[in-house]
Amino acid sequence: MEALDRLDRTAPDLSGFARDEGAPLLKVSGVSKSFANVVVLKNVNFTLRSGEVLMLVGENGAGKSTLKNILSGLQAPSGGMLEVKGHLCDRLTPDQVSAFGIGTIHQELSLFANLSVAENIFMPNLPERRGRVDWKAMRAVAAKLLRETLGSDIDPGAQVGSLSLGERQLVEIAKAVHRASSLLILDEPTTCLSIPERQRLFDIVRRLRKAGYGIVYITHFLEEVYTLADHIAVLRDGELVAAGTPRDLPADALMRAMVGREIAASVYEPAALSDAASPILHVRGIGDNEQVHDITFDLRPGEILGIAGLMGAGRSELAEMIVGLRPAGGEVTLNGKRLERRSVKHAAAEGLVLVSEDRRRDQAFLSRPVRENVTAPSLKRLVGGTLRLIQSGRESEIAAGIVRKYGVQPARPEIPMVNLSGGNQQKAIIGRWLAESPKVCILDEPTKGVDVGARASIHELILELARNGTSFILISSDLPELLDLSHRVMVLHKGRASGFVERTRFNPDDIIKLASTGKARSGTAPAQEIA
Amino acid sequence: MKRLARLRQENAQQLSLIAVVILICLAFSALSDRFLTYDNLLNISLQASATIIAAIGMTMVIATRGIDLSIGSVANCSVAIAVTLAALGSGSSLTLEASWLAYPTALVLGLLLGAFNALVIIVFRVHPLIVTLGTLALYRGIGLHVTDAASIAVSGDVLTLARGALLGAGYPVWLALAIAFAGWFTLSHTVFGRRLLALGGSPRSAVESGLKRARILAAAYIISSLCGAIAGLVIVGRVGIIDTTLGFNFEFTVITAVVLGGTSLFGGRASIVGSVIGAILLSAIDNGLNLIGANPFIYEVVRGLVLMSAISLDAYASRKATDQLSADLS
Repeated sequence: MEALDRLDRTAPDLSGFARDEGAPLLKVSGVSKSFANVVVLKNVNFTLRSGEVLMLVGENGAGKSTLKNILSGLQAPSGGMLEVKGHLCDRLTPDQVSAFGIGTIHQELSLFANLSVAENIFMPNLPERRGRVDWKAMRAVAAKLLRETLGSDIDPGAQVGSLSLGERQLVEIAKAVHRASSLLILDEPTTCLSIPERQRLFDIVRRLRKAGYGIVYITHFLEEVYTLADHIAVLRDGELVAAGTPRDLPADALMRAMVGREIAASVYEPAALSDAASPILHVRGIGDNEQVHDITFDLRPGEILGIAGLMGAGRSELAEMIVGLRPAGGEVTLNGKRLERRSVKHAAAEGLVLVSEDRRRDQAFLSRPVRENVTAPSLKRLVGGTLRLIQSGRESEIAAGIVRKYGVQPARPEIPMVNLSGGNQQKAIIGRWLAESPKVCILDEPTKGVDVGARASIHELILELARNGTSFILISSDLPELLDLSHRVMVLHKGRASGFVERTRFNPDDIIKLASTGKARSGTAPAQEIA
Repeated sequence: MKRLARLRQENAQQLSLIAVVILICLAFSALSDRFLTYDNLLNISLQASATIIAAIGMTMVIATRGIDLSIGSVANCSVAIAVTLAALGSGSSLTLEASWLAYPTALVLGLLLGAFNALVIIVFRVHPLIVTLGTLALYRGIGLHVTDAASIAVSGDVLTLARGALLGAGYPVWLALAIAFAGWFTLSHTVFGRRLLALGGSPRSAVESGLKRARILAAAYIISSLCGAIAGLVIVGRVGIIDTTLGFNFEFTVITAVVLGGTSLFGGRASIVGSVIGAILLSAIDNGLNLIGANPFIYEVVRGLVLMSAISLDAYASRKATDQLSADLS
């Protein structure tokens, strides 16, 4: 365990920092962060000692990733102090991060697809001999690290670009373990791992803890929390709302803290569907045989179909295929009419719209007024006169209507979009599409990155529209959201539908199982590799 | 087995490029019996050497996702100033005899011009395309100012580099091979080279891994300008004249050679060997067209077509690669 036994390597030269012997490994005092005028972290305090695992949990948008970026030297906090091994500083630089021996497993893998596995693990400090890279030593160490620590026989000479997603995740782990000598930060490290690989990762975390490492483990999977935690800290809307040992924070209390309300009994209940209504949307054998395979389902008027799955399961791709943003085989029939040669424009004309995941980047015109943002798809209906100009009076009227109806705050259509909070931008973009009164609306992660209040109002909006007959396909990584809103959940695993679960049989464990293994729950966990 | 497949894939592009070179040589030798002679092949290699030298630096810059449009102006400006400074107080202003001091002076100037490119790119975070488009005009302007835009006949030691020969081949050919070897070694076997490729492959991962972006970029642009200055010395040594055409449109030839060779404009994938073959291919085409007495305007058409096809292929290959990547990652 070479990589694990390097605690006693030479102390970094950090003279010039105030130093306090016997201090905790990491102390975060009053750290806050805001971007422009949006506050993402508010006065966060916690302490981590050597040999402890701190589980940092919270929903999407709670500020976990920002905190990770601050701890790994990628962002400077706007306020507060950090103390690492007794060295007090107001921000960490990448050099300090490497001197302190802080390793980070990034959720969006910080790898170089064009380089070999070994180079990825060592970058930027490749071993050198007589002025050239010591390939032999590097590959040997990398192979040993991969084999002994992660139990993987990935060829260290292979190009990372040729590896599967699961293998890449292992390389990312190896890279962080190689760099870390005191503190390891893991950001949602298991999203692409199979169950045996997860177990292996948990073993590594336990071994590192025993070796005296401090570990900050970011996740939103509850079962991981209780497998590993010494301490738990819950972030919600940028604030640390609860902290304690696993005993102080049992699962229900933790959920409550994360979501900010009771989760056990859903406050929502989608309207009952009439059995008589015939399906409005038929999807038959959609797929490209790469990322999505042969998906078939029906959707009834007013039905909310949830789609669950891990990252990389093909959820967004499926949505893009249905509306024609991505080429695929199979058939889509809407309202009895088969959509030939699908395209976004065509689909929208038939009443099928997709509100994609990265609305801010893909769909918002940030520097333009809210008015233009919400009326963008309806301009055709707004032109008049011989010159076919936009009738600005009617446009303002419609914009004001959308802003009011979808609760966009502040309710002023003329201010630039960029001045709205993330949640309100979200509402404006969703409003833009729903104002087209679509028959079927595909929402991809509609509440990602929005605050609790906005989340609730988006949920109410969806339910109300569904009651009035609009059908929804709801893609979400937020399982409570799916379980709250959906009539039915389709679970995707590696691009295939691994199961449909009816509302009466909703159970988070079953769905997680289907999503991560592709198999329904049974006595034994199948050793399924996620390639 | 896996490794073998990898090698094959990497080499496929270079093998097909060599096949193109051979096909073109066969075509020209069918059209002109002077093409495939020993003397003419030596001539092609001599003609290619300045392009090869500049292409080595350009390969590194392009590998970082950058570009250096100022390379021809660097060649012109650094050589014009160096020759003027190293002139042995001679007669008329239209003839200059320059000592060997022109060599180190040109190199220092190349370094300074490259450092200025790097400074603007790094400090002001301007896209390299824009920065070097600006310095393309700026450096050329300085060069013209120094020479008063006149044609100056150059003599003296400054010509030795391009006019001597060793074992049958001219010094520039040996110099180009030496620089190409150094470039290949740097990119494939030094820590700096691997970091450079890493930065080009994924700037975000580079930041997260703690790579020093500024240092790597500065080195790449300085190396590129140094190569430009050396190429300028080679060109002036061969033609014996400094005028406005020195280094004019040179960036076009050099970038074409690099992209032909399989270095991706999208960063992270670089091939020095490919750049060398690309430069030789372009020289062979120029030489062959000349031998068969083609209309000079055809040259530009052919070069344009060659660049377009190389870039389209690169974009196609990169899109395939990113599609695969996003397929895996999304």
